[in-house]
Amino acid sequence: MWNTERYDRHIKLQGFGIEAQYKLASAKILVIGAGGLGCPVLQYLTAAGVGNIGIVDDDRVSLSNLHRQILYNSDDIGKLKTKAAFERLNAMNPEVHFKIFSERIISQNAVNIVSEYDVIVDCTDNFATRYLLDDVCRILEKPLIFGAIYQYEGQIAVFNIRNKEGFTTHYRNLFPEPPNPGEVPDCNEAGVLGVLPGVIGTLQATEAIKLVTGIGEPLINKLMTIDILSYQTAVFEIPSFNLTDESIPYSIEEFENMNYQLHCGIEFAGIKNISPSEFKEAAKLPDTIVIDVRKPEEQPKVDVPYISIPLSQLKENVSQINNRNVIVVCQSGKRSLSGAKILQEILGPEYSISHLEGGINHLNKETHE
Amino acid sequence: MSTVKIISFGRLKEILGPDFEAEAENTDQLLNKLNEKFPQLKDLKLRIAVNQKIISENTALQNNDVVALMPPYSGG
Repeated sequence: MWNTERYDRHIKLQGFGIEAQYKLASAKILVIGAGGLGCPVLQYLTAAGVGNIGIVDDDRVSLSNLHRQILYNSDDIGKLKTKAAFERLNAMNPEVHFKIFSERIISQNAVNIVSEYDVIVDCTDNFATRYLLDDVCRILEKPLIFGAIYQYEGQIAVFNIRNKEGFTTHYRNLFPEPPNPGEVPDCNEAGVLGVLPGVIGTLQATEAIKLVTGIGEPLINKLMTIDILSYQTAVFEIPSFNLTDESIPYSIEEFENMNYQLHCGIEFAGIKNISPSEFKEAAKLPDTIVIDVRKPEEQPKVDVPYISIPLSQLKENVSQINNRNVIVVCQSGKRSLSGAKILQEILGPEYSISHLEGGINHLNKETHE
Repeated sequence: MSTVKIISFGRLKEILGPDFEAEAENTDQLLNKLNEKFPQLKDLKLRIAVNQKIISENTALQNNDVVALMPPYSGG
């Protein structure tokens, strides 16, 4: 039994009370991504006394996370986010049961992980995982609380819950198809004001509490947008329509066979993804050249021999490539994929073109271990 | 022709600039005009809302309608 004094101000709150607090205590909420959005979501759900919280993240804390990922401190750099978050949250409220999943959510493990929970909170930072989560939550009929940020703006929505008229919507009703890779810059590329995920994540936590306790009007079939520079906010109605796209999954089996990297254009037929752990060995293979397609001033450099050709000048400089194995690298893995596609088109099938998945950002994280 | 107010979000705001007015009979026509004026828009995935309702097909526009253009965000 939990200590009622901890939740006294909830219990005293008109329209909330002990009944709503009991509902929180028996709720099971899964938070996917323990980054900018995930930190405030986890913090408030833990403080609020949600009975069971799942945390999914395969990433480790890095220095550039700390201006917005407020569960972590400087000593946590290099630690798994799930473990560092668990330590903080468990100290904050030991009455909450946590389960951590220190792995990337993929189509092969998602059904198992998601099935255990009543409400899923999307705090991820990439389209492949967002579409994966939308599909698995649609198929398993799990409420999905979506949040996403860009520089000074945020979006929040609640999917997979029937409104009074019986209609339900999914992220795919809002954006049916993933954008092309590189079309929408992420926080790594475009930057983000540190408080923005605090604002948006806190609203996602609010929606989770509203859904679990039944108070107020959650953003069911609605998209809220906020611009924190102007405080311009708007709530849009999302249209409910049957999805008919044959390339998306409609059953667990179809879902588990889905390749979201390919679906979102992150993987490309014929271009090999090289993981950070494979990179050094791959770069040493005979007849191999590494091409850095970043601008010359970008840091840090890779510590294997390489040539520098910025992406914008790649087409004109293909003649510099005399090796059959070409590995393209950049900061985050986006420009390198674009570069690899350009090279594949020009050089043809006789060359083996690959790119460094996750970019130099990920390479350095792994080598810090 | 109806005169409508265009508001945009995220990266689209960087392309289109601050809110402005445009003339069009319907959303398809409006989008064609915008694509002509702002060629960078062409390949971008965006969603259109008219008076805060996201639309799925070509929609007739009235004077003073507010048309919002929204891109997806990935950041978290």
